[in-house]
Amino acid sequence: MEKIKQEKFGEPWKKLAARWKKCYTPPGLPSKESINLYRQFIKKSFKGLKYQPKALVLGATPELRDILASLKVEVSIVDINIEMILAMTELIKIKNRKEIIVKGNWTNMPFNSDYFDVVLGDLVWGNVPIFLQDNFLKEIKRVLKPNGYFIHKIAVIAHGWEKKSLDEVLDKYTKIPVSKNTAMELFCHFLCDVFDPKTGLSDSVKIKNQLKKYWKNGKYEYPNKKITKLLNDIWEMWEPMEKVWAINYEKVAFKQFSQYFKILDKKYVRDCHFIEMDKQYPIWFCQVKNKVI
Amino acid sequence: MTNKKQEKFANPWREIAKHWEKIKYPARPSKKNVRDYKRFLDEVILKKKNPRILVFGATPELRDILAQYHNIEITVVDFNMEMILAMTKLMKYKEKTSKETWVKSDWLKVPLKENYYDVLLGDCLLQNVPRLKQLFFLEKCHKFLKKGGYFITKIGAKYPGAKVYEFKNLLKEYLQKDSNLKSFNDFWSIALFCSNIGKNHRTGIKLLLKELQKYIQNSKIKKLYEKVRKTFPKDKEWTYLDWEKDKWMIEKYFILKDMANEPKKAKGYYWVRILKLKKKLIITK
Repeated sequence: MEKIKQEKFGEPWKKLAARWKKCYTPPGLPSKESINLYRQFIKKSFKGLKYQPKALVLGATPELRDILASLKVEVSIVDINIEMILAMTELIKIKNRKEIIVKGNWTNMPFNSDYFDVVLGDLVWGNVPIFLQDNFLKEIKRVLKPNGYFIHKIAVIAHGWEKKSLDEVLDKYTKIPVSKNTAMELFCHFLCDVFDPKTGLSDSVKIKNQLKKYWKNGKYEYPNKKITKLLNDIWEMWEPMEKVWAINYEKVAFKQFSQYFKILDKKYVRDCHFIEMDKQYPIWFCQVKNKVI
Repeated sequence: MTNKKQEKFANPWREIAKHWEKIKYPARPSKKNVRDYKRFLDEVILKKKNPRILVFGATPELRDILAQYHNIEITVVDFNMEMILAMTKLMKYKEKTSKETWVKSDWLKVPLKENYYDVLLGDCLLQNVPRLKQLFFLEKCHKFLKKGGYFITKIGAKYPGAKVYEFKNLLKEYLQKDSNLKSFNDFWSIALFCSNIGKNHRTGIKLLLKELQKYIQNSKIKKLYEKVRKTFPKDKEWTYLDWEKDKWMIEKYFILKDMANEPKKAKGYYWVRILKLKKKLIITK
């Protein structure tokens, strides 16, 4: 993959950091239910440890850092964008001055090998360019102790997903009540429907192109007022809508992860109006496979 | 040493970042220092294909040197992210820092890759590590370096033949000069590191202010007192080495390969030298 494409994964987060607080909601970030599930898995991964556990967070997700701070864990975080780190650190509820913060790359982290008991990430996999995914998994395995755990929410195309046109999706959303999560849910729905199995990518440019017909005078205008607002909320969050995600069929991701990890458990929570959307966002509880020091 | 005590060395840097442009040698590298660092780095880096450099501290002058090399991997470690951000703004080649990996962590606790780096680089590092932790710090530095790796650093120490200045005499000298940035920098740096105010290998702003307080009835000294107070956080402390007595700590982990000459103006005056140290092979059972 050329460099320009690689930048489409990470660079957009710089601008998104500023809009995060206003526009970002589950399933894009951990809900209360997700936080509880993460907490359960984290506690499970620390069972039997007789020392202060060491955890690494991929990305700067404040909710995950708050869970770890409450459990008195030694925390390190890695994010490629300093803008994202600074914006997310502002949102942390439990300030942890000892947190080790790294502005760096997930595929070449500065940490020592076999150091962490657990690695956490909320929707990290889709932000790794396809050509770097294998390196990414190897790197997580490298920094984890033998039998260490990788706990992460992953965006996938789950078994049984029925692909629809964006117009059909919009029509579906005219019939449901709107909550503060609906714009994000609708955007995530679009992402699943524009997924291209040939490239393994969900490109938000495709969404922008297909919605062009509703774009008038610098904003969206749809026959239904409720949908008009949702589309404009989506635009506010994702403008200029050029970000790309490497989500894939769940069975494909499962196969990739299985080379390095045992997937011990997977669970999803009810964040979305449509249960089929919740199934696209399971939390996987994985353990390092075949590693000895 | 308690964490609180350790923080006295590192936390005040947040404040110092605001005044960095006013501070001169030896707290930051002089032009001569920059040339010497570059010479030592050239000798090591130019022989390697993709050298990996670990920088302790965020010193803009050192990162500007590194920015001029191609195909190098740079990791910058500092106790404060504010310091890294503030120092980056002062860099000439700040656009090249996108390739740097930044780590906000205590140097003594940072869990970096071991046997990984070709060079460890940093300005006046040992002076910013509490005395009782210096040996441990050197051990960590040794671990991060590859076999044959180098540690290039400026060390403030009392080298043989160095003069210890009487604080009173320094003040007298200052009173005879015009008050400007140069005389201010000359005064605080010598008073802190080369005079008799330091005790037990420790010196700091509190000690300096305490001494100045004694002569505060003089209006020029009162102004000097205020300037020191505004430029530096009062909690900032440094340690200094007595080279002859303390070099064993360094020689436990490194071999001295080269040493830059002192800057001409600082000969026998500042006790600061850039050392090129080679990682020593330590055989354990």
